[in-house]
Amino acid sequence: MLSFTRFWIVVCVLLTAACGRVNETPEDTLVIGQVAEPRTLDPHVATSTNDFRILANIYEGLVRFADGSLEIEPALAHSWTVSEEATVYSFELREDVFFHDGSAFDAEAVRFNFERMLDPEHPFRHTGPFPLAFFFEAVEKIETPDPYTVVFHLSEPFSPFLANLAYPTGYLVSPESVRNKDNAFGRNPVGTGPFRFVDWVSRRRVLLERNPDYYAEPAAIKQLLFRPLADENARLTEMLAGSVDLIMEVPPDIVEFFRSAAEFKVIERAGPHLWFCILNTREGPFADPRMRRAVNLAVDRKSITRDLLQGTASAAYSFFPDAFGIYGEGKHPEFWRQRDLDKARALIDDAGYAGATIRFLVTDSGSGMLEPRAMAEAIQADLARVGLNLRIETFEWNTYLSIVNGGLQGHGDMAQMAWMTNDPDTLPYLTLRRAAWPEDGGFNSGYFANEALDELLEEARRTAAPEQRNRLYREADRILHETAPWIPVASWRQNAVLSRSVEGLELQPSFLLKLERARK
Amino acid sequence: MIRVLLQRLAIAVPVLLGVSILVFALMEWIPGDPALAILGPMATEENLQNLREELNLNEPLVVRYGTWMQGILQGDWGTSYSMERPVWEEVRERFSATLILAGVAFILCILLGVLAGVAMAVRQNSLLEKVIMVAVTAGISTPAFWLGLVLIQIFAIHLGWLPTGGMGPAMGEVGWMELLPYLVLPALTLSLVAASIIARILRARMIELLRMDFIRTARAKGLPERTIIWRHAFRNALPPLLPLLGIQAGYVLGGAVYVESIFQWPGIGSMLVAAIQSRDLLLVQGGVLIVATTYVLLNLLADILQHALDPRTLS
Repeated sequence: MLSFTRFWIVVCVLLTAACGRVNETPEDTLVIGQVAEPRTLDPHVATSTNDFRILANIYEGLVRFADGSLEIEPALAHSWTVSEEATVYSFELREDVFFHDGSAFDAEAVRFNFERMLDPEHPFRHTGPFPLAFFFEAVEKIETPDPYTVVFHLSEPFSPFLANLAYPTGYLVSPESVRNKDNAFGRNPVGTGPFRFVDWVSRRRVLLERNPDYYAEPAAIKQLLFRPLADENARLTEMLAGSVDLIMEVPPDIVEFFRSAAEFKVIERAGPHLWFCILNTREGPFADPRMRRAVNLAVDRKSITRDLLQGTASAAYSFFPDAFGIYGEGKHPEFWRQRDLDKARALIDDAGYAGATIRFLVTDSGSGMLEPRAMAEAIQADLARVGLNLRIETFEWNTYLSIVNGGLQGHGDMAQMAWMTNDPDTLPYLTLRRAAWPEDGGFNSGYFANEALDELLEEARRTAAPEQRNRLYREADRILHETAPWIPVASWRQNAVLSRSVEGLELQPSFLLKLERARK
Repeated sequence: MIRVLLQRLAIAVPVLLGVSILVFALMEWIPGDPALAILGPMATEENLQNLREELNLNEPLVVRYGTWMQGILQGDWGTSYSMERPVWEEVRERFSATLILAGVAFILCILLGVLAGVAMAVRQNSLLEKVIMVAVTAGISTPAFWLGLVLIQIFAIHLGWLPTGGMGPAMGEVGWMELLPYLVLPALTLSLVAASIIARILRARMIELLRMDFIRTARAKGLPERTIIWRHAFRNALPPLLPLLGIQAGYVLGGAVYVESIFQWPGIGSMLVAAIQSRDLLLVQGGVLIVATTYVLLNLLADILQHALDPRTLS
């Protein structure tokens, strides 16, 4: 039996040879566990939060969201003016900025960036598609009166313009590198940010290093290493083993464990995210506004966010996520805060739908969807208590999107959805106006229509003064509360788990991950 | 022999053709489209239309299948929508990763299975046999994904000896030496069930053989025990084991899909799942084609082995 013993000796030797420091991250490198392989590192092509987390460290825009808020502050433009009619935005650029490839950052570069996205005849149009270019569709003309001044002429007043410039779709790429790399630019990104790109090895890493020529204070850590760890369990085990320093989007049932473990810390930040149920206002029970109000009164948002989501989301009552602060810091409307089952039952009886069966479209996962199935079941239980019988139909995410975005008619009475946006205008404008019905190319899948709301949203778009805009959105929120086209349910609190040694990192309400001050 | 081989090969062609038609049709019938997967939930209808046009998704199914088939015959597997790179490159890389994992696991399952089986037969009724028997029974009844998590918990998190997953370290180049520690846990997980089955069958066969007259004769001649076990008994236990190995090879390849996802192994299984989610038709086709071909070849190989060992099965 010698060979048997010998075999185990070999196994043991192999194991000990491999033992030691396999699971430690290098001291000068911050290792981030990403939820997926990035699709592209071209900010104008990218659409996912996962990609944005890398982009936010390579690129910058003309303006940016101030640290810890959604307020706009200067970035590559040191100042700007807006014309009285709010259709001409003139930016003065910093003169000390260079792209990572050494080319100069100037007004022409800015023009190249936006024309590539907007002009169908642009010579580098084929480096797209640019799915979010509609953020800037109001731009009619771009002028460069001198090398460090850029003037945007808009076809109509468009108040989300600055917020869109601060979003990754507004980040500025090096025209010279786009010309040189052509279609390969998305895998060889060049920006102006605190980190520059080193390499991207598929399924293993995206590596960035400190930009030594950065015009502002250089990044605190030498390198950032983004690892794609698509499997949820894999992210957890890597974090536990110490082979990553930071993971994001930690699921509710695990976050409690990390909160109580000494070698980790959990950071959280609410953002402009809304998880809601679209109600089909064209046909079936929810064509009746009483039914829509009734379900809003019956859903127990507190229990869903506190018990089911373990505090990883906060209850949503307004149609505008709290992070936008349209009611002022920390203030909320009273809508539906008091769950009232008797009133809900009375409304349902009035409408003649007691005991009705409701088709509820549900997905199994998806961007920003939190725990879609468990949440659907909680809502099912809540509505059963007021005598409604929800029939859940579950679809895989891609299938789900194509059904729901096409409109609920013929498919279901209600459907889950979640959006993350950067401006209070975006969500209602794209999903609640009469002109945004699916047949007109919009995302108003429940066919809601209200003239007063449409007018308010248009007016808010034309209004540049923040306080005045907020007043209009409060009015819109009131109308929406009365007409109840959705059940707003929850706003996600983005979370991250860090190893104890990581410092200088805060999550941003914009959901962008800025790592230039992080160190360990 | 050659005639039989040719016959089997001739059957393989319509099988593969059928698989490719089925996959194409299935991917077409399930709702959702690649343009939406690429552009994301905020895609406008106009952008979706343009992209569908660009990807030739508006052509009839038959035309697209024809184009794809024509490409395959000329060695062009098309370009993946979601990865924006040639399907062949992606499939080749991912399938190589699967083959490395499955290959090492297969060798490991033979090694472990044979050693455990022989040890149990030779040390019958000893403590060693009981210990191995418990391990083997546990091995057969343990689902791979659970075993994988337990191994990670012990060896990667608790002891910190081995990495939790991935195919090589994130930094630096990856050669065989760097790869080795990353292979241990997934290969072990993948091989344990198959090894347990081999061990049990081998044990029964060896016990039977060790009681036979020729072994008694060998012992009487004064041959060393090692020679008797390995050269006489084991060699005779081998033939009925070979077809079993064919089945185990298929099992290991199929099981690789689960194990890949636990250990972040970038193999063909995880590629196919992602490709289906993003409705990346050509990538799905490429992946399925290569997996189906491998199964057909493995079956063929098993047949050939069986014929070689027992010519009577030829008729």
